[in-house]
Amino acid sequence: MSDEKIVKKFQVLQQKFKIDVLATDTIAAANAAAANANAAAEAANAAAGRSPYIDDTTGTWWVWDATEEDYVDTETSADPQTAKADKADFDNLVNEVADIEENPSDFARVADFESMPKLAGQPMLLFCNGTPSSSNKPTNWIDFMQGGYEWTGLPSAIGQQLLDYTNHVLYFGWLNPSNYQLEWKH
Amino acid sequence: MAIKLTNLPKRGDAVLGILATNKIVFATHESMMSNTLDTSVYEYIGVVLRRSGKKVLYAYKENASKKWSDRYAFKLTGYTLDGTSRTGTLNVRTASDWGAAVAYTISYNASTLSDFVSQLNTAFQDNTNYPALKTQDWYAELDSSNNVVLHFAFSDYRQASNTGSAGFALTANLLPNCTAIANMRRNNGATGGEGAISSMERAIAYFYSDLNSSTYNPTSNVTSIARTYPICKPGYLGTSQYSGGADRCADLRAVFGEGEAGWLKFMESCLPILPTDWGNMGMRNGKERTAHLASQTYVSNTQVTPKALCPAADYCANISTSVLPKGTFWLPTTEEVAYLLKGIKYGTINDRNADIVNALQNKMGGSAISNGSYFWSCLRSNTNNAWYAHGSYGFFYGGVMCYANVCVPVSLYELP
Repeated sequence: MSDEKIVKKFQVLQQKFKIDVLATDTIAAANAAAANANAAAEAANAAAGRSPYIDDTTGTWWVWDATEEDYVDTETSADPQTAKADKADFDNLVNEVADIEENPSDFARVADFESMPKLAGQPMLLFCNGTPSSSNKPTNWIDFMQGGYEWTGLPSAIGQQLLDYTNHVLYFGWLNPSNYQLEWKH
Repeated sequence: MAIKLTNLPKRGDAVLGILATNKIVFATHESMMSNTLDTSVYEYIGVVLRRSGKKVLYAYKENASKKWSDRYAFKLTGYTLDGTSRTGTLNVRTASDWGAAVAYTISYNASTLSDFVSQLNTAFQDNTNYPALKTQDWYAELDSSNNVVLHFAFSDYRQASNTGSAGFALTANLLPNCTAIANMRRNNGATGGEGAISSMERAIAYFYSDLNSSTYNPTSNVTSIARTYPICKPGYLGTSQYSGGADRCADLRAVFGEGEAGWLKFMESCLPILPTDWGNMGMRNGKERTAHLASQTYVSNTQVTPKALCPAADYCANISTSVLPKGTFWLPTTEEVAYLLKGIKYGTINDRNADIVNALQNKMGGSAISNGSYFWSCLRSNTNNAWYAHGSYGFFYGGVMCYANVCVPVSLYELP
């Protein structure tokens, strides 16, 4: 950095920090600030002209990192098809987030066993100690006060499954087209 | 700020048609509210009600009050076609006193069905002897199975109580191919007919006060949470003046909680389960149902050219816009009515901008959607009734088809 530039930078700092140029300690501070400014300007000067490039090996964009004083991998693919796929993944993610925001009461969102995808707000697979009935509720049924709704003894969706683990019977939800009522079949 | 289009529409956003390309796009609510639409580029079609995945449910900008059915129909039996003079009696409810039937004895002498039908229609135009039959435009015809069907202008629910006697018998025969189901499942485990809340805002307004009704204010102790109808707040809290000072709902409060917060939680339990495949809420083919209803026509002694039998369905099915053809919209299912009314505050709040849907409609000159209105669905609930959202009680109710209620045309758009 030229002397002229250093002086100009100092004047800016002087105004910014309202430095009293007549005070000895502030003159020392001003000298230090000028030195820092000089260093920063030199770093910027070093970065000048160091454009991002595509690395042949990784196929990703590399950019100049002034702190490291070296190029670093952004891990962003330079392949238009890959980038397109990344963009699609991102859009899907945005859709999912927007879905949750739009329909917070929809149930099927996450996947481990406890919170596996739901059908009409209840587990896709219910576990029941014996034959399902209005007085025999599956152990994993979600009641109203737990965020679901009350058990009536019948399925809540077409295709919902219920395992009677006592009698080793697997039921599935079926819609009776004559009355639009769901029933268990096995 | 210009109008901002979005690929992820949400409730309250605008549905726009691009006039140059006949494509649908969606614009954010905020940008619509702060801009004037360039109508040389876009047309305002309606308002987004809900997006589930890629499916966008939206309402047409306008709505109208229409009857579900213009006519009521009976199948006539008991007649004898033997070429001799015979009589039969129709006991008909009339406008002079809908509560009582007027007996009209009709003479005929026929040996064929067509002769019989012709003689009936002659009698139905006899203003001297059968003035109410003339006024109500009674008409006889044969259906595809050679049943004699009598139909007439439907304007009062008591007309469904007409009977035949002394040689005639009547059996209700309105829209025999239109399934009637009355079964909604509530969060509280109750199933069956009317009572599932359609508008929480309206239901809270109605059930907040002390109601002198054993249906809405139990006179015996409530031991099950599976309630068909909501309960008024004083009844729930045990402070009603109509239950003789008795506390009937202590068991409910033990589940849902004390005070107003407990009552509101109980009211939530009276909402229908959505989504579900169960009963009426699982009947999702509104477009097909509406198309079927809209295809039904009738002629009569005064109506020479075929006329739509179901004005509500006919209205929705025939909506078209600059970019959307007829057949795009339908009369909503009960599930779609529930989504329509979810969050509608206009009605209980007297401000067209009270909720996001009405605010957009108001800005764009569309029709109001008030939770105090009665909204028809395309689903039939029983012989004489179809499902609507009750504008006073705030729950789904079986309304007699002869009355005009609000029809909000809806449609689904599938995002790419």
